[in-house]
This record gives sequence, structure tokens and C-alpha cells, in this order.
Amino acid sequence: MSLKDLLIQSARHMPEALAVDGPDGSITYGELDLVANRITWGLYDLGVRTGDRVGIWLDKSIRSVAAMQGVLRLGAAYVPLDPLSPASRVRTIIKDCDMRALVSTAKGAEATLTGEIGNIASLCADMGGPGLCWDDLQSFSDKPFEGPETGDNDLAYILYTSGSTGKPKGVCISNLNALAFVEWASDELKVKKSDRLSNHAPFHFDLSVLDIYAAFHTGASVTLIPDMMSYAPRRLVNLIRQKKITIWYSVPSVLILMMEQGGLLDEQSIPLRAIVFAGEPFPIKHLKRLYERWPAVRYLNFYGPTETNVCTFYEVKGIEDGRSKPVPIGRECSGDRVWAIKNDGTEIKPGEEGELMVSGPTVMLGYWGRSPHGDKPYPTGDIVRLEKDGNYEYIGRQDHMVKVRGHRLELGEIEAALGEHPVIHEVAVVVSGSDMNTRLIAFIACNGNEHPTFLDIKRHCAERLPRYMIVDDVIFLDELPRTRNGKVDRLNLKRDADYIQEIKRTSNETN
Amino acid sequence: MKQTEILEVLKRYISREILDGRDIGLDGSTPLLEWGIINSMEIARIVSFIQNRFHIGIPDDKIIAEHFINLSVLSHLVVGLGKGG
Repeated sequence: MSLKDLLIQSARHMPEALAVDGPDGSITYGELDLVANRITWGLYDLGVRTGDRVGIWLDKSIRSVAAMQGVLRLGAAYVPLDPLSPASRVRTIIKDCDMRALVSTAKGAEATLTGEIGNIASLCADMGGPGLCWDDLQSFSDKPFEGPETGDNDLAYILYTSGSTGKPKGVCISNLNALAFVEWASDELKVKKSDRLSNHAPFHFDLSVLDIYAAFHTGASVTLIPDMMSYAPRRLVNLIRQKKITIWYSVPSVLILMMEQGGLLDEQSIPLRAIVFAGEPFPIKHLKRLYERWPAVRYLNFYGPTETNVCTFYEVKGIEDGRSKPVPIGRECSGDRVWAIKNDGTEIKPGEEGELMVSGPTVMLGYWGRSPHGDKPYPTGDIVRLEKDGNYEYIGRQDHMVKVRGHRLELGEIEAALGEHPVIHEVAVVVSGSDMNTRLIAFIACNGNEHPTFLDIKRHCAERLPRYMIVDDVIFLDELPRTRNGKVDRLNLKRDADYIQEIKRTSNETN
Repeated sequence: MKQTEILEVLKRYISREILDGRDIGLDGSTPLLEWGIINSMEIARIVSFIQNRFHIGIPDDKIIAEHFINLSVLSHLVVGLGKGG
């Protein structure tokens, strides 16, 4: 059994059942299976072979899901790319993992496949563009591609995350890594054919793995939610009602927006039977309101960095009055073992704090271009406390990696991008605020007296970074403050940023 | 109101409420979403501002990325909705 077999088996057993409901229509398992076969043959014709990497740079759609399956059937690995990333970042990733082909739009291919990567094969999901276009796929067979058997440790996909050195890094996930999580989650959530899962997370985000593959694994259907729908929380709530979504999975920020501005708490009834959240702590006051409004729904907190997928979980079975902390991240799952160690390397006991370690089937193969991770435990960099009841509680990070509205990012990557600006001499980026009010604040010192405008900085970021990494505010200084040993005094900058943001917040509320 | 007047009012709102006055270079064609000037939270605030200022409600199905690309497109939408379309 490998990841590609999940769709193949459901197509064999229930070809007429709805597989994917997307912004570009809906498709049954049988139809999706045939489209995936044509894509496989099309990619083969373009020269893609077992072990190659194929990028998918598309808005969320049935075509992008089909492309993933087409790639897997060749024994190749897909690389989902953020549709909101600038072409320069996509080019960096194409080069980094030495892609054989890119599935994109004609516009996307023209913006990226030039110069030294101009010879990369292209399949366009629309008309025109270099290489094959979607209509060309009709000329390829819809019969299964008889490729080599896929092994547990063969690469299935690569998810690029923010890198501290200024370059994104590729997390390599094997068939076993993905399946161990999908099988556990399908079982824990008791996903069945009649379920309709939501897919809110973009495909380059590891949250999307559950939605698609738990559906394929069980013959349920998945409803793709286009990114732009997030701008209208009422539409998300309407979609839950109209599409009869039974299992919702997203970052808490989205659920809070749906409560605050979408009327989620005002509905007469909801079809949901499970709400799964991950990616950031769910502020307890919001979770409590949701839990108390819809007490019959199961609430599960999933935890895990991209490198391990979901390795712990916690099911909320009551929130006591007066609780101020978020719910725990819980206990190990997906067949993994988790524990936490203190600075001296010894395992923590109840009541103590330490760094969470993970070993087991969901731990990644490694980062692309670096030596394999092997069987050694993965140190998450997350500090946790072990509670007396055996659950782990998330405390915070021990490095500069941060989460902003559910997105994981390295401040160093933003600083490196800003450092490319010809006028900027030095820069430090800090995070201020929490939850929905989290802001990325850049402190910048320039070479001369002239400094770029705020919008110049925004544009500069937008040309190099995904949208969620564009700084929210900029403060120009003559020079950055230093600690006694000469390092940039980030604590001081964070205090300044918090102070300024607090003044702005108070001022907004007064107005 | 004319489209140019609506655009000016929206520009002043974004300058004041989102950019804290740092609006050098902001015009009708500045990419609002692509440059991270506005996000989903701010879109909700802008929709509410348009309702209060112009008494024009933007229906949920019109709150899509394409309508918030820049001020020129957004002001055209407001004009169209004001005419009953």
C-alpha cells in the first residue's frame, strides 16, 4: 500500500461516489482515477520518470489534486507550491530540488520557466503555454500506468518551509510518513464514506494532507475551499451548511473569524461532527464559546511540525471555568513515540519543561539536498511541559522560528530578503502581539539619510516572499540597538514593537 | 458619487487606518493584496467602512480577491453596486 493506492482503491470500489468538490466543479472517484492516469501518461511523455520531482503551482482545484495523483503514479514526487508566492521564490524551489517538470498555468510557466530553468518540462492546467496544455491530455491513454512498485521509504512529496538562512528548505515526506498519519487520523476520526471533509489549508501546507487522503482512504469526499473564500467568513459558514461538511480542519484563526464575523455561533444547527484544529494555540476564550455553542461536536487539537506531521493530539472533553491556558497538545499518536528532554539530555518528569522529541513512522526522510534524517529522533525545537495526567502542554519555541496566523516562518528568511534592498544596511524582524493580532515588525537601519517608503518595503517583500511573510510594519532607526556582547538586542526591539502596537491598538479602539 | 471620488475616499481610509499615513506611492493601481497591504481582517473592515460611508453593502459572493486587487477595481465595484448592479 502506498499513497497513490488510496484513490485507486476507492475508484475501484465506488467509482460513482463523489471524490472531490472544488471551485472548478465536482468529480467522482472513477472520473478522477481516469484523469490521473492521463496526467501520468502525459508527464511520462514529457520525460518525467520514477524518482523525479514535479512542481504543482496552481490555485486549489480538481486539476491540482489530479496532478498530485498523476505524479505519484509515476513513482515521482510532487512539490506543491504556494499559489501566492512570487515567481522568484518558485524559481528558487524549482532549482533547489532539481525539478523535472512544472504543472502550472500558461502565465505561471511563462513567469518561471526562463533562463537557466527554461528547459524544465511544462504541463499547463489551462490553454496555451509551453509544453502540454490540459486539452492535450485527451490524446493520452486513461489506462493505468504500470510503473515500479512504490516502497515505504520512497519520496511522495516535498513541502517547502521557511528557512533560517534566507532560503526555503524542502521537507521530504515518504509514503510511509504520510500513510502512518492518514491511517491513524482516519481511524481516530472514524471517517466513513458518508463524511464530507473540508479542505481549507493550501496544498503546500501539511494540514491539507489529512483532508485529501483521509477522504480517499475511506471513500468520503473532500470539499476544496478556495483561498479567496477566506475573505468572507460568512461564505465559509454557508459552505459548511450547504455542502453538509461533517469534518472541519483548519487553523484556529479561521474558526475565530467564522465565529466573530461569519455567524458560526448563530446558526440554528450545523452538520459538523468533528472540528480539528492545528498550527497554533487556540485561545481558550474562543474555543470555550465554540465548545459550549456546539457541545455535540468532537474537538481535536492536532500538533506536529511539518517534519513529523501530526505526532500528538488532544481531544477536548470539557473546558473548566477560569481556565486561561490553551488546551494541551496531548499525547503521542500516528504510531510515533514522543518525549521531552531537559538541557542535560535527561527526560522530563511531570511538572517539568523540556524540548519535545519525536521518533516513529511519521518522521520525515530529511531535508532535500541534505543527508537523510535516518532513525534518529527529531528535536522539534518546541518547549513543552508534561502534565500529571500524561498530556504535554505547549510552552513556546526555543529559536527564532515563529507562527504567524498558523503559518510557520523563520524571521531570518524575511531579514535576508529585506537585506537584499540596496539601501538597507541592517534589519531585524520581530513578532508582536498574539492570535489574530500577530504582526511582523521590521526594524531597519539604512545606509544614508534616505530610506525607502513603507510601500517600497512592501513591494520588495512581495517580490521575494510568500504573502504571509510580508512585514506588517516598519520602523526606521539610525542603527539597531546592541546587547553588551554586540548582538542585535532583539528583546529590546520586541519591547518597543509591543509598546508601539499597543498604542496603535488602543488608538484604534478609542476611534 | 463618481468613481474617482469613491477611490479618493477609499484611499484616505486605507492611508489612515492601515498605513498610518505612510501612503507615498499609493494610487488606484497599487496591488493591495499582492503587497500584503490588506488581508482578510482588513477586507472585513473595508466592507464595513463602505457600508457605513456609502450605504452600499457588498454581497458575500462579491467579497472575492478579484474585487480587492487594487483601489481602482474596488471603487468600480462600489459604483456598480450603487447603481443597483
